[in-house]
Amino acid sequence: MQLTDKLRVRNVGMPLRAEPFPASTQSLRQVIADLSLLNHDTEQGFMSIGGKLAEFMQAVSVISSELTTLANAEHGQQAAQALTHALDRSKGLKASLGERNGGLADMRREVGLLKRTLSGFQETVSTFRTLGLLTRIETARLGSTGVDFSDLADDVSLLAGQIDTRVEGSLAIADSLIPPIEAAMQEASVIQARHAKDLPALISETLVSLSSFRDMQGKAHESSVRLASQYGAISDSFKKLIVSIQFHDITRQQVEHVIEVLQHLDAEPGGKDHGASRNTRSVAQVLALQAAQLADANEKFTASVASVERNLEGIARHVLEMVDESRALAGLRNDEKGSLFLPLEQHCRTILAGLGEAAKAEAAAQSTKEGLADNLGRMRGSIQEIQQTEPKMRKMALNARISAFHLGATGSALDVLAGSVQQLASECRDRSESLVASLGSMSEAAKRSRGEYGPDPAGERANGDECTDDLRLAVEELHSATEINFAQISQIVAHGDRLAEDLSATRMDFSVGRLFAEAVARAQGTIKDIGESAQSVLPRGDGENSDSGLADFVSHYTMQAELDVHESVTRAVARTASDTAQVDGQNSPPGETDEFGDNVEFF
Amino acid sequence: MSTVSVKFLEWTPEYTVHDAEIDQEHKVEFGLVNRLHEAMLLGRGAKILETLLAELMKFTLDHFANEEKLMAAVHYPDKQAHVQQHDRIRRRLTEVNARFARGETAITVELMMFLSDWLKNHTMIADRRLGNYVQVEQIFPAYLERLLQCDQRGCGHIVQRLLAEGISFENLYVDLFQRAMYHTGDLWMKNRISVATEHLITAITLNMMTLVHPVLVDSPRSGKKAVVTCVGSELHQIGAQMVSDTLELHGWNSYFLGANTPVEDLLELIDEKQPEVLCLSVSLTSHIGQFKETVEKTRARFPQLDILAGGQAFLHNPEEFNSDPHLSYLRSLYELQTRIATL
Repeated sequence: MQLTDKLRVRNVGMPLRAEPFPASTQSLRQVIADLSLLNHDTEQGFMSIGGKLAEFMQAVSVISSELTTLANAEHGQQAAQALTHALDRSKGLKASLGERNGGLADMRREVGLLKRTLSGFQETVSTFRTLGLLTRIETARLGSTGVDFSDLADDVSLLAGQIDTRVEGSLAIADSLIPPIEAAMQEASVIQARHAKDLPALISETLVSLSSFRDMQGKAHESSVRLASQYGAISDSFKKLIVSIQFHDITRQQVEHVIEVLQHLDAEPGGKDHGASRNTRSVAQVLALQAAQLADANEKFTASVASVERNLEGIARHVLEMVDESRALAGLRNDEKGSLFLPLEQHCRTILAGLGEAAKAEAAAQSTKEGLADNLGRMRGSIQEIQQTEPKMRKMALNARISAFHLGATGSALDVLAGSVQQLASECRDRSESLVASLGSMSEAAKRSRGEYGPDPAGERANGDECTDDLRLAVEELHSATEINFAQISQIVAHGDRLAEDLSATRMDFSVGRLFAEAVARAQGTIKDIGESAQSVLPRGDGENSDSGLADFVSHYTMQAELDVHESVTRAVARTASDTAQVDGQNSPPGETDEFGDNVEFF
Repeated sequence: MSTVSVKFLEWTPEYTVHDAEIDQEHKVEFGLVNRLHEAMLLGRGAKILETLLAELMKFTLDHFANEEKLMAAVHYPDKQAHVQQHDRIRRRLTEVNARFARGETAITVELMMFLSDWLKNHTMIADRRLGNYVQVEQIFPAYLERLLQCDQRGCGHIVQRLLAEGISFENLYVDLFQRAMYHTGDLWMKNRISVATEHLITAITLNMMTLVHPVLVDSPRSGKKAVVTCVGSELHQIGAQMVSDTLELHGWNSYFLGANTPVEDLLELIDEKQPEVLCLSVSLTSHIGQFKETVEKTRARFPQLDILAGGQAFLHNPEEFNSDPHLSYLRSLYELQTRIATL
């Protein structure tokens, strides 16, 4: 149960008016009990508030330390430099990528030439097959003359078939080269476009964002230093508050003092026995003084609590203003969607996605190039095999011509055929050389497309990869810096919000002032009623004289004056008690007469 | 809430929904947000995304299913709106997950904003509202019983207990007072309680509402003004009183005119006070004609004045609000709360 609830419960149980004087003992004891409870509860309450204030100081220290960390943050320092460098290199890459794509276009052209050359080969093969047929007819005719040329016809057919197979294979390879080359050209165009246009544009935007980020960091630094100092001031305010709530010690002692006086009155036989008018008058005076003391305590308590409330409210307002300023650091003041962190993150995301696509395209292009190299190798193999048939054709034609020479006029047709085979062998050689030249050009073009040539032939490709890596690292660093700054500011805002909420809750709990006032007012009322009841039993005129004296006394109230009154009351009570003791034949407890004054606290 | 902890967000008993399992799930949710935040403080948010998103997806599906089960069990009246919020969060989370699967890693700030928004606007508002409803639901039969017995002290003890337990003002008004009044109104219409008992119950409810008033007095002021009244001869003024209290709680100066205020006098007061909004309450459908007349006369003199209307009478007559852009119908105090934040 909270302090305020306890006070409420107790107040509900307290009678609004005291009983008439004959029942005053019970009322007096009720007041003593209530004031004791009030003192105990307010003591507990203030200890709890003191603890809260200490917690607030610790919270302020945490926030202040977070602000200092934010002020000293150098996250993303390398990102700007790396991004600028990457932008420059990206521009450099544009030229080499143009070169790469030019190489692919050359390859595409060379494949066309290759196909045309191979098509020419097909005509040669067709002629060769015709020659084979004619050779078979001629050798069959010559066979009737007794000369056997059957091997010659077979050899021509065999060679024609071999050449045909190689040419068909090479044509198939040439056909298969075109789609991947075109795909590679397309991918290269995408990469080129990104590097040439999109990526630099994105990097430029990111640099602008980065500049905003830098501005924000600069402002964050200034604000953080200022806010950390303000939180330091708030911490000092809490220290002062902790000191200022010590006022409660004074009012607690005042209330304790009243309790002791009332306990004394309750304990003294004269306090209950109101037969002697002088003693009764003194009791009334003491009660009036206690009521005045309570009024004074109440005044001090109320004023001090109001001051604490004002201070807490002021601090809470100040904290809220500072939280708002912290929120503004992240551009989060009005709308979280308007935070500058989001476009920054968007740029990082787009660049990273672009780099990912570029890497994929690069990998695909690399695979194409490797496939191309394989195919070129296979074609080169086929062409070498075609080239190897040329000496065989020449040898076969030479042998046929020698045989034809031996046959004389009969062998003239064979000689013509052998001459044609020789011519075809020359054609084969020329076409093969042309194919070899085309393959050479394609290899050159492939090298260009792989970026092996260019402004910096040795390292341009590595340069491009490094550039991409640098860019990725820079963007990741920027994103990481964004995360850190966002998380730090969010944390400062969350802690500030929580501190402001707690301050507000503590301020609301500080209704103890009002409840103290209510409890004290009721106690005053009861004490006054008991005093008035005491006065009412005095002979007419006796109380009137003392009333004016009492009013004057209260208006000049000092603790020394009260001590004097206590002493006089003690003497009177002691005398009355002594008289009573003599009458009753009883002894008063030793030393009792001195106790009252010793228990008075001076404050 | 302790201010000493360095944790980014901390679950405290004020967020309880009075269901141990769901409270535990909310603690897990706070933990997930704190984990992301801790990683982000080190600039390593992207590194934990895969694990975090997987956990978050599983947590969300299980947690929302449990909450929806609880809402069904307690017949939560705001279930539809609550489930709509769940659907929005599920969609958003699925979208974030898909983006991550496509290779987007620079989404930590956005994800943190999304999670903070989820905590701030769903867990700390909608879920707490549900929690408070569950709390009121548990005590509602006892309150209703005392109310029908016209046991003012018994009702007072229940309200004081709920206030001490930190029940929200809106839940107390809507889920306890309003619900009890609808219930007793129904009993009156079925002739199961007398007019005298119904009036006594109304008086007790008005007294219960005064127990909340110290909170209203302490709420910070916004400087905005509203005039709140019943229409014409409408005598059921508790609804209007609740509207007025809600406005006061949110820092408005509310001029509550109660029942039976002549239209001409109402217009004079509007002219004098120049409020941002006029709130009209109509309980019985028989007063809709007077409502139209009041709106017409108000509109003739104050064409731009925002008019908010509410009350049982409109439950089946929402068409009254189609033509005037400055006239709107609010189904509950929660809607009023949302609406006044925009005014």
